[in-house]
Amino acid sequence: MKGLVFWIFSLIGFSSCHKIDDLGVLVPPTVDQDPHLPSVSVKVARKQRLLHVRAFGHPQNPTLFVLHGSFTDIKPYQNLCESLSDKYHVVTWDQRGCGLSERITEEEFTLETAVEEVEVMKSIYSPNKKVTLIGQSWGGGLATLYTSKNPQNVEQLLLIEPMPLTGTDMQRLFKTIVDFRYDNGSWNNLARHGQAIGLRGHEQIDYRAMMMLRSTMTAGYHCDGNHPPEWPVRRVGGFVEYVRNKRLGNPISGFTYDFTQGIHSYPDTVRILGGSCSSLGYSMQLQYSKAHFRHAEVVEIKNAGHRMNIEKFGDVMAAIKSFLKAY
Amino acid sequence: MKVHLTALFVWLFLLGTADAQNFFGLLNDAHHFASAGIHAYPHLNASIDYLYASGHREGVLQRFGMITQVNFPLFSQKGFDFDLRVGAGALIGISGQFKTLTGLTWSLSRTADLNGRYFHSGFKVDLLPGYYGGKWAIAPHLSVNYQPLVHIKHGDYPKRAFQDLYISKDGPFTSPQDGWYRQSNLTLQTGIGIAYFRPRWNVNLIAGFQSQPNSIGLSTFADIGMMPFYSGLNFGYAILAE
Repeated sequence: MKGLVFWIFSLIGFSSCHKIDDLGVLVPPTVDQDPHLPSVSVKVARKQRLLHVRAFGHPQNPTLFVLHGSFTDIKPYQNLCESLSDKYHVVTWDQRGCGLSERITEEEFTLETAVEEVEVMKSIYSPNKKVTLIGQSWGGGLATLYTSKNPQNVEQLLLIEPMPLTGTDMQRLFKTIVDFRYDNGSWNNLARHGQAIGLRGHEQIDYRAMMMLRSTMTAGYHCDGNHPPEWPVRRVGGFVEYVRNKRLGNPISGFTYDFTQGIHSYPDTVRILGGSCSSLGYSMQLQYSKAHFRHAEVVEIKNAGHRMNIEKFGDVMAAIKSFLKAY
Repeated sequence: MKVHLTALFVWLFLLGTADAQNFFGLLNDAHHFASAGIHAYPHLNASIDYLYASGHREGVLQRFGMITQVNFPLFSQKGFDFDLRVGAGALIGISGQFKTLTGLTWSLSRTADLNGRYFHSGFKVDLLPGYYGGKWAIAPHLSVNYQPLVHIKHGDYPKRAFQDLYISKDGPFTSPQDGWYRQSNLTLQTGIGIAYFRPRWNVNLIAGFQSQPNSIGLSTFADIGMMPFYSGLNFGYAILAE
């Protein structure tokens, strides 16, 4: 009888626990789950999805898009957006499947649909006028790709440490970006995390992927690789990171992408910012990225790594404003 | 090291892992058996096992034992983990030298990382049906690991993700939630176990592939042409004279 009572109480206790994938247990909900968040509905890849969007400045000002990088959302760019809002209508959004935007399926993400997403956002926020693009890292690659396909739509293009812009460049630089070792503590922590929390859905995947931002596996990005600067995200899109990397290729069978095909038809000067510390910094941008454009200039941000807009906000804003026409 | 980046992403973000116990001491004749091992699940661990066993290698239920295992991580960026497992195993004779090693263990684990601290508990069933000779054993390894319960204590890092979530500063989600949670943390392993054993010691290797069902439609094998692996090398020795 005592045994039966024990098991009944155990069963009640177990069933009264909340489920780990309930909203807000691990990560903030996405816009389709929390209507308090600002969103815009877009149709991309023939699917209607909600994007988490923030806009700054007067809508009558020229429109400027800020495109975020990989393993992030728009939160770390908020200061940058606010700083430019006196002269621009700054619009930034969590790309599909990233941050607080609605999650997508694998089929919905290709490089073509990423460009389509930017085009759809332009049709909403600046349907009749050109937009200025600022993109960082992957966002820099996307901004370049969009410009190469739609040069007539881009007023100005500024890239903050864009990722290698072609697969050939990536193949040469890969070793400096990812240095994988089995004895790396970050790798072991990330892999071990699966013993505690199963990875059935996006909440669990994003929760785990967020740790990558403090990982020492990409030490080459930072001035002090063992202590990466804080990068204050709300939520990353772990599954989209996986899909994106699948689309871009890999160092064994080769990287197959090219963001620069057609970029020579863009007539204006492109400004590229590179940190003095990062493996994707000033030297790399000067050697690899600059040559892809008809006119480009590379500006060095001293004592900064890949997260320069957090580390050296004043210097980065000075380099941005000295380039933008509205200033 | 050059890596297949997509494979690395699958390992890092899309898969669970499961520790393994060393039941091969049941092949020896001793009652008290200690073993130590190193493992890649694929994260790197060390383990110490104690096995109390009885019975003789005859009949159907040939040997029966109780096992205790402690696992420790070998490399960690933050936090200290331990994993305590207790359970029972048996060597069951089926026909001649065709036998099966079976095990059922219950685990209580603490895992810590940059996001927080977790206490989790569950159980694992191991099955190794195959050839068990006088000195050698070789058998396929099948296992199911299920961790249905986890206690989460979030660190500052995931808490900061909730800050400034709402423009109006007013919304229902202000912090990640601590506490006990139910989950479906199921890991399936399939591989092979090989052991060489003498009356007082054995050395064994167990290795294979593992997968975890997910709700996002990802098929690991089809996507990357391979599956994440697990492996372990153990050495066991009879610690008390019979």
